[in-house]
Amino acid sequence: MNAKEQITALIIEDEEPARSIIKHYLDKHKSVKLVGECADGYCGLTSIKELNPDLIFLDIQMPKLTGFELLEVLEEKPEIIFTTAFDEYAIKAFDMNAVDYLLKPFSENRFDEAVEKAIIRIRKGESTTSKIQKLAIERVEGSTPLNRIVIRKGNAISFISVRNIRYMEAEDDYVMIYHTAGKALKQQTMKYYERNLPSDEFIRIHRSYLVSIEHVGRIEPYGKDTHIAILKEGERLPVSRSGYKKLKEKINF
Amino acid sequence: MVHPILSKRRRLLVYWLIWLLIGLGQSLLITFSSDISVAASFTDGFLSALIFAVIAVALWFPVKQFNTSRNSILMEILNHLAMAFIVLGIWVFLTKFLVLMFLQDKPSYQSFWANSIFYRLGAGAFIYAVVMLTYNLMISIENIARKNFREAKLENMLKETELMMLRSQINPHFLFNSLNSISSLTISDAERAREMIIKLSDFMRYALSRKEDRTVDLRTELENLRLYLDIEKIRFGERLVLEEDVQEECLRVRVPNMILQPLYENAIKHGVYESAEAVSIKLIAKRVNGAISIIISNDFDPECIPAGGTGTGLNNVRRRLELYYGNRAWLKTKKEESVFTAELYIPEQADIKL
Repeated sequence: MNAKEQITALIIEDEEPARSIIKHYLDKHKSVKLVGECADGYCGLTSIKELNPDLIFLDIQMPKLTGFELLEVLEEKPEIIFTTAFDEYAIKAFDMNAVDYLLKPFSENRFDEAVEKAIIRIRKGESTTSKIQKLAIERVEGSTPLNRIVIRKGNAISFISVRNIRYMEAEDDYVMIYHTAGKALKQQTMKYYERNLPSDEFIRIHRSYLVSIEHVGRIEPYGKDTHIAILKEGERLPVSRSGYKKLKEKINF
Repeated sequence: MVHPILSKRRRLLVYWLIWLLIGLGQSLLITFSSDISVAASFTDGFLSALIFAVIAVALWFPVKQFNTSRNSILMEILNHLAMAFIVLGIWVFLTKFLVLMFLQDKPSYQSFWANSIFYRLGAGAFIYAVVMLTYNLMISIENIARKNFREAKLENMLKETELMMLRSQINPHFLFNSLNSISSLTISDAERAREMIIKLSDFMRYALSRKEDRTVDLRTELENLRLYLDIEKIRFGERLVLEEDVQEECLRVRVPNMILQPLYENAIKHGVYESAEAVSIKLIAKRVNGAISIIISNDFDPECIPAGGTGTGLNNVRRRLELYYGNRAWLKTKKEESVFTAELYIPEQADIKL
C-alpha cells in the first residue's frame, strides 16, 4: 500500500454516543478516512464486504450478531481495534492473542496509540487474519456456555439454537452439526464444542461424536466392550468405552 | 456451662426435696425389712441420702469433663466404671462411719451394715445411674438449644448478607457504557454531560445505599428508576421508548428498594440489546385487593436466539421477594409472541421479616 493512500475505517458499534466519540477522535488522524458506520453486527458484515475497509472498530456486545460472532463468519479479517465496556473473558482473550483493544471510556491518547499501531501494521501489509481467527474460534475457559451457533451460507447468516442441536460429528477440520431443522458445517473442533456447549446437556460419546442427551433414545451393546447410542430419530452412533461411562453417569438406564 | 442445680435456687430446692423423699423411703424400707431400731433405721436412711446428695452435686464436674473431651467408647466406659467404683466406695463407708458416730448400739448396726452391703451397693449403683443419665440429658438438651440458637443466628446473618449481595448488583456493563456516553457528551454537549454525571451519581448512591430501612415507597423507587432510565436513554436514544401508567394510590406502597431496576435491565437486555429497531418498555402499576401489581412488558424479536444471559437478574428478584415476604409476594414472567411480560406482586401491608 502506498503511503499517500488513505486508510479506510469502519465503526461497528450499537450505541450512538460511543460511535460519536470514535468519530471525534478519528477526525485528527488525517491518514484515516471513515467510510461507514454500523449499529449492529449484520450491517457490519455487509459493510465489510461492500466497503472492504482496512481498519474496523468493533464493539463486542451488539444486537443481532455479536462482535465475536462477526469474527467467526468473516473470511478476510481486516485490522481490528476492539472496544468493550466490561467483559472479563473478552479481555482475557484479547490479551492471550495479543490483540489491541480499547476499554470504554478510553482517552484520546490511548486511542491514538492504538490507531497508530494499526496504521503501521496496515502499511507493512501484516496480516492479522490468523491471530483474529484464533481469537474467534477459541473461547476463554470459564466463559458462559454457548446459547447459539452462527452459520454463514454465502451472504446469509443464520443461528442454530443450542437447544435444537441433536448431535455433532467430526469431519477433519470441520464439525457437522445435525439439528432439528437440518445440518450445517462449521470450521471448528469437537474439543471446542465439548468445552463450550452446556455440559449437562451434551456428552462426547466418541472421539467423533458429541450428542445431546435429550435426543438419545436408547443405548445398546454392540460387539464386545462397545455400545451404540440410538437417537430418537433413528441414527445409530458409536459409543466408546469412556463415552459409555460418561453416559451412565448422566442418565439412568 | 454452669452447674445445673447450684445455679438456680428453685432447682436446688427441688433437688433437696427429692433427696428428702429418697431418705424417707430408705428409712422406712430399713425399718420394715430389718431388726435394728427405728432410730438407727432413720439415721442410716437420711444420712446415706444426705451423703449421696452431696456427692451427686460434685459429680457434675467430672461428667462435664467427660463430655467436653473426645474419648473412645472404651475409655468412656472405663471412666464411668472407675468413677462409680470410687463413688460407691466412699458412699457406703462414709455412711457407716457417720451413722456409728450417732448410735449407741454399735454392734447390731455393724452387723446390719455388713449384711445389707450388697443391697446398698445395688441401690447406690441405681441412684448413680439415674444421676448420670440426668446430667447427660441436661447436657444434651443444652447442646441442642445452643446449636439451634447458633444456627438461627447464622441463618439470619446469611440472609442479611445474601440480601445485601442480591441488591447491589449493578451491572458493570451499564456503568462503563454510561461513563463512555458521558465521555462522548463532554465533546458535543457539556451541559448534558454534567446532567448525566449527576443522574448517574444519584442513581449509584441509591443503588449502593445500605440504609437500615430496606424498603422504600414506590414513589421513591420510581424516581430512582427514572434516573437509571434517563441514563439508558442517552445510550440508546430512539431505540428505547418508555411508557408509564401508575395509579396514584400505589405510590405510597412500600417495596424493596432496587426491585424494579433488574426487571428493566432484563427488558433492555433482551429487548434493546438484541434489536436494532425501537423497543418500547411499558410499566403498569395498580392495586389489586391488598397488594400492588407491577407489570413491566417489552417487545422483543421472537426470531432472535439470545447470545447468552444466565437469568441471574430475575432469579435475584425472586430470591429477594422470598427473603422479604416468604410466599406472599411473587414474580411471574411470560412470553407471548413478541412481548415479554414480568409481573411483580407485592402485598401492601407486609410485616417484613428482617
